[in-house]
Amino acid sequence: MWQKLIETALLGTEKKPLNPEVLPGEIREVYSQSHAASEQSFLEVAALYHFYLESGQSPASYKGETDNRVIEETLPIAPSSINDIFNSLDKVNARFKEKLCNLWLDLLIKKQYLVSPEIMIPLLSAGNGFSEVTKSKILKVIGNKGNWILSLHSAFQYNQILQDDVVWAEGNANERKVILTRLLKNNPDAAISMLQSTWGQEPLVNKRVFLDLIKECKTNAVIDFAQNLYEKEFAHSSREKKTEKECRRILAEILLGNAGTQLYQHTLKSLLSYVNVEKKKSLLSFVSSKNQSEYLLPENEEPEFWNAGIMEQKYGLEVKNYDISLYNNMNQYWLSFFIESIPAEAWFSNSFNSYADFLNCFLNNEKFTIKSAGKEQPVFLPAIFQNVREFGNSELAGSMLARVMTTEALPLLKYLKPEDFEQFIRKNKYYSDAEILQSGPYSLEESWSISFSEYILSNVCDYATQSNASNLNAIGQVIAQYVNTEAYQALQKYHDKVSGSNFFHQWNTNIYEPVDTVLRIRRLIKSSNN
Amino acid sequence: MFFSEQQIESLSPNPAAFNAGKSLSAGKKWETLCQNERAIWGEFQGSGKDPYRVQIDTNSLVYKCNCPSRQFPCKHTIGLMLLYAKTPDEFRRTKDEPDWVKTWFEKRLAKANKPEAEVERTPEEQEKLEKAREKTQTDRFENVQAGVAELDLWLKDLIRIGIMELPNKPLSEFEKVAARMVDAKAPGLAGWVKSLSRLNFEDQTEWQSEALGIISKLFLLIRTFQNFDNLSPLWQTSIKNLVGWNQSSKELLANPEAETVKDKWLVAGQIVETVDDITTQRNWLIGTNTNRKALILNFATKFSAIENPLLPGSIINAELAYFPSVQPYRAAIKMQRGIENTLEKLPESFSNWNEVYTFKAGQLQVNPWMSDICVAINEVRMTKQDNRWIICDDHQNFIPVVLKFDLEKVLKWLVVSGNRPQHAVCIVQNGKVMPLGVFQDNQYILL
Repeated sequence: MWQKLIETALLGTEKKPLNPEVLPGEIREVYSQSHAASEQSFLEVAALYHFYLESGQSPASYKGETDNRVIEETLPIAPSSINDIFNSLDKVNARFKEKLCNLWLDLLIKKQYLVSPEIMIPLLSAGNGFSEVTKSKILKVIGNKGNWILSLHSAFQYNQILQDDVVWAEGNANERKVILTRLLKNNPDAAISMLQSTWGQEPLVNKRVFLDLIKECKTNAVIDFAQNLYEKEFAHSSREKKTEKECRRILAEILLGNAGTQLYQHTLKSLLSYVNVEKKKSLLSFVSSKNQSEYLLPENEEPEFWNAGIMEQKYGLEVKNYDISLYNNMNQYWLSFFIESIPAEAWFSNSFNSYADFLNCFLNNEKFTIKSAGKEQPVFLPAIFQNVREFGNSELAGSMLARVMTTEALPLLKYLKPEDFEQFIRKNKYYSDAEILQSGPYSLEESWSISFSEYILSNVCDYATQSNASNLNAIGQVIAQYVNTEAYQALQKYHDKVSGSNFFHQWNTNIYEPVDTVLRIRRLIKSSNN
Repeated sequence: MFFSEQQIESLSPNPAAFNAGKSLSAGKKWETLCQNERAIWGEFQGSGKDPYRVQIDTNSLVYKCNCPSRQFPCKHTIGLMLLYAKTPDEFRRTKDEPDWVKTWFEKRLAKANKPEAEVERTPEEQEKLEKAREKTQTDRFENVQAGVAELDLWLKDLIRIGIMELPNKPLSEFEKVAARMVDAKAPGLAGWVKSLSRLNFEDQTEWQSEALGIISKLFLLIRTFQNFDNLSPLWQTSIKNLVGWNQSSKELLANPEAETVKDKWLVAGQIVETVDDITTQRNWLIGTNTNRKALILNFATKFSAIENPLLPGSIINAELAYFPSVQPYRAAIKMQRGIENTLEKLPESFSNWNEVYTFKAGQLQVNPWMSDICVAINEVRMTKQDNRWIICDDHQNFIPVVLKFDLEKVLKWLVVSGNRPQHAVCIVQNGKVMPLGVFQDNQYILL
């Protein structure tokens, strides 16, 4: 009946007058007694009928399957003092919110606590933008109820962790790259298994892309996989495609990076046979212990090692063309590849006397320079940089520092030992350079040493109270990220020192408040850990 | 008394103010943090020479700060509340209040007790004043009558031509008619007209039924108003309220005949809406002993904050005065004695949705225009049907959750319940439900 009224209302009483026959008894009577125009009569009927309809409503019946299982927790909820730490994270800069969140999550996991229901949803929302490592920690602290929520609703992007196989089988190239990259970081064995499961069907172009990705990962599973491919699928053949040669080069890189492989051992033996370590000749040289080693790289091909046949067949290297702006001859191009690919300590421990000697040999030799932008540049400097990036050798990075300009040193800083980095900053007084301070070798869990933290706070305090101080906000954020928790008292000391100054506001807003906020949170986490 | 962060956030005028308050709740810059049985107070060292002084009456949730901010509560007040919520032990207990706190309490008490100054008038002046009042009322009534007549014609035109084109009508057309009702001093009728423009036109079956429902009820209201002289005084008051006559809280509280109820009231939920620069805060209360329900409306504009804020999820020990109506529901706080966070007992609840609908039918008999009903109901679950959230009772009957209900609140229900049936408080409106909170272990958890 209501539907009939709707039909009339839609078209209008002018086009579709109401048929009184459809009305129930009492209402039909009211309608027939009304002498009003049709729209008024209609409205009267609708008003009456709607009232009865609303009064007579009953709830609908649920037809679906009833899920009666109750989700219980097996771990206790964390005390409110620990849960509240999450709420404090709201005040923290996004850059290191994840870092602090990880510290808090580690605390919860260590104590086998779950987060309280009040913060579970905000935590899941916040975690959407975090790394997979952090997300996997979040999954551990949300308990059975939290994981049940994730299964009910896809608002939170945690489910991708569970669907790798599906995406690997059916996803597009980008999606597969993302999965493989992530798995290589978190579970390299699973990544190689997944790769092997479809390797036979992958086009060559994909194989090259995947080999580039696994190059970064130096686990045994990767080495074994690479060894197999190097010996079989990508062994040299006279009719090989260019991409196959490129794959062999990548595989050679992987194998040369691992001291346990035959390729590494044979290659190193060949390479080191060209190192000439100068013997100590005079009394002075005994005292100073300064040896000058030399690398006797032939300028032309020669049958033992430096020739196109070996380079192409064993290492997949180019044998015809090289970049003449970077190298003086083909052999230098080939040597550059080996310097990049073999860990520097292999050279050092087997022939050179020190990293300084190693660097002198390759960077100070006139034969190993090339003119670029009007200046003579060491040919092998980029290769040595790449070696540092590839193998993270902090001693090599430290030795390099003295030889490069500050602008070139930036990429090296994160490979230094922390004490070397701090020494570098002190020596060059870089306490007010946020970019350099940001580039140190500290992982998510690490901080500056206490003395360095105090050094930075002391100097930044002086700097921040000058009229020409700049970039204070960025400096404050870096300090907040890396300052040692034990430097809290020092921070308060400098804050009190500045309190009467004209520059209090700029110190307070840019340095003190962000650092104080983070230190309070970290101290809370630390004290809850004890 | 204990505040939760969620409750404090509900008091904040906007998210920016709340975040600013949060940044001040670290504790370092607060001096003289103190508390006693009626207040908490503190001094905050800002960038100026003298610290800002903040005080909060913890029994009635009135606050003051001497900072120049025009936001209420300001960030200092929010910061003090958050600090107290986190670390109440940092507030030293003391009986000695500083002068600036004591004076504030004394002034407020004096203002509350001060009788309204009686203006002395001569009998002629008094007669003139009363005649003027009567004329104002008569003029207003005539204005409304004219507005009602105009709306009556508009509705009839709509039905004659048909409502098929309703989704395609420009918003301006509804606003024009609504504006005419406001001009006619009938803002209540304007609200009904605007509701026609806010239907969910994407759902073909739903909007058509809802539109005809609104039109039917509005027509019934118009006809009832046109029959005004034949109504009882209580009905006359009720109809005037529906049409848009203002209800003065001041007059209500001063009226010795007004119905008052003392109880410990659970502030079950709060919804805030801003339309045309006016913020309306709806607070639903349930009397834990009397089981009475009440709706308290608070208003704010750009220039005036909400005077008596309520903390959703709290329990206020208060005496409420109900505005006279055939179905007393809207109320005002006459006297507040304190705020708590622990329930002594749970309110009475319906066992299933059938009972709720039976109750609703009874309420409609009393007042056919009754819309939102606040109910407490036992043993219900939040679940999904056809990709839509519903609340299902143990008889396998359900009511769908309102569209656009905050997903985070749904998930919070699920997290708190762990799929256990819950004792919940909901608002039932137009065949949909809006959950406000759930009870667990004698605590009320706000969604």
